[in-house]
Amino acid sequence: MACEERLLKTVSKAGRILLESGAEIYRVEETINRVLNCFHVEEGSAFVTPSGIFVSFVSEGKTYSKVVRVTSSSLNLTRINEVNQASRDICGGIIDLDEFEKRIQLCSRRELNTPKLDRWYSAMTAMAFAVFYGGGLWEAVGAAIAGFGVNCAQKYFAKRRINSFVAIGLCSVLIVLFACCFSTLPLPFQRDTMIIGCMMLLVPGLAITNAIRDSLAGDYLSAITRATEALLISVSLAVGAGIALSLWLLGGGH
Amino acid sequence: MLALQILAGWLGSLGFALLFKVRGSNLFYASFAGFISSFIYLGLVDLYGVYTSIFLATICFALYCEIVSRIKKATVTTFLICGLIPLVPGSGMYYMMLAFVSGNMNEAGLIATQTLTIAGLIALGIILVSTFVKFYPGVEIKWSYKYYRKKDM
Repeated sequence: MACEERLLKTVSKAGRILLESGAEIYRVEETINRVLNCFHVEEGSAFVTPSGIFVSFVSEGKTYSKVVRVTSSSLNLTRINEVNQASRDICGGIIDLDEFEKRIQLCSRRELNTPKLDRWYSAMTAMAFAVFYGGGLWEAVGAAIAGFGVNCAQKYFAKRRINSFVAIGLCSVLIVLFACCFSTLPLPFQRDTMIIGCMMLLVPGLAITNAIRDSLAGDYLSAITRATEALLISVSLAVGAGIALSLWLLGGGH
Repeated sequence: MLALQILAGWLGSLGFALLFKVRGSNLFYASFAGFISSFIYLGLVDLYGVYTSIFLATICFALYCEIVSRIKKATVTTFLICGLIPLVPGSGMYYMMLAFVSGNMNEAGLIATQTLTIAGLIALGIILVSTFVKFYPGVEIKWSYKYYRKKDM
């Protein structure tokens, strides 16, 4: 009997890790369903939305079910791959439930978070995109500084639990204001290139990808949610830039 | 300059892969998707214009992602996100706002339409590729049900 409880706990934990790490909704559902199916429980089914997981199955006449609400999310593609591999192994009969449980535990505990390094990664990304959009040395330098700052600002906003759209808008304001101030320096400098390079950091790449892949899998509810998220992020990026630009123009800059 | 831009596209996707916590050898394969998309996009944009080059670049990198995800046994998303980033019309969004703020409504509307078209083309390319690879037999990763596992529970 205890085995069913354990199975329920483990699959919902696996689903939770997947959802938190930014997996597509259909992948979460499919992983839970396949693991349940390979234990031959009856009526095993999972219903996943971007903010919660519902798992339920019947075993020996008793119904087991669990609801998991997922609020936080921290992008982590490595964890998705690890959970995916573990579920594939358990369906292939390579590992048993104990081993599966152990690997899921390991995944959830494993922290790849490197906040200090993240700032440098984001500086590097902003610099690269400034060059990608045709910038020279000074645009790259400015974008790298702004990219570093944006990552710090994002972490700060996340800590203060500020709504992500507002946070992205504020980051966009910061980028544009910084670029405008930077462009007053007597340097051969194109403001627009630097701003675009930096704004690429905030572009909703994951939301777009997940929206496409979920709509392909026929999960239109989640696809619409992700597409709305992507649209809102883009709008708040643009609005933030617009506010900062008009402020700058009002203040007499050009 | 072009070579530098392409390398910058590679470096940019590498940065995104690092931020998305891709680790190990997948890091190289994921950033290489960004290299492919920026190489094809920048190489063709002067010849064929923005739309065609974006579409061709999307088809190529999506195909690469589907292949490499099956070889590396990792999720397609890992590679898709990193390859997609250099093509995302971030500049369109900014120039639209710039035109909007300077009171140039016609231009703002035009750039907004272009930006949406590019986003749609990227989506279309990815959808096309991931649908058509399903027609090719043998590429689906097999899940096996042959082990009866009830007793192990």
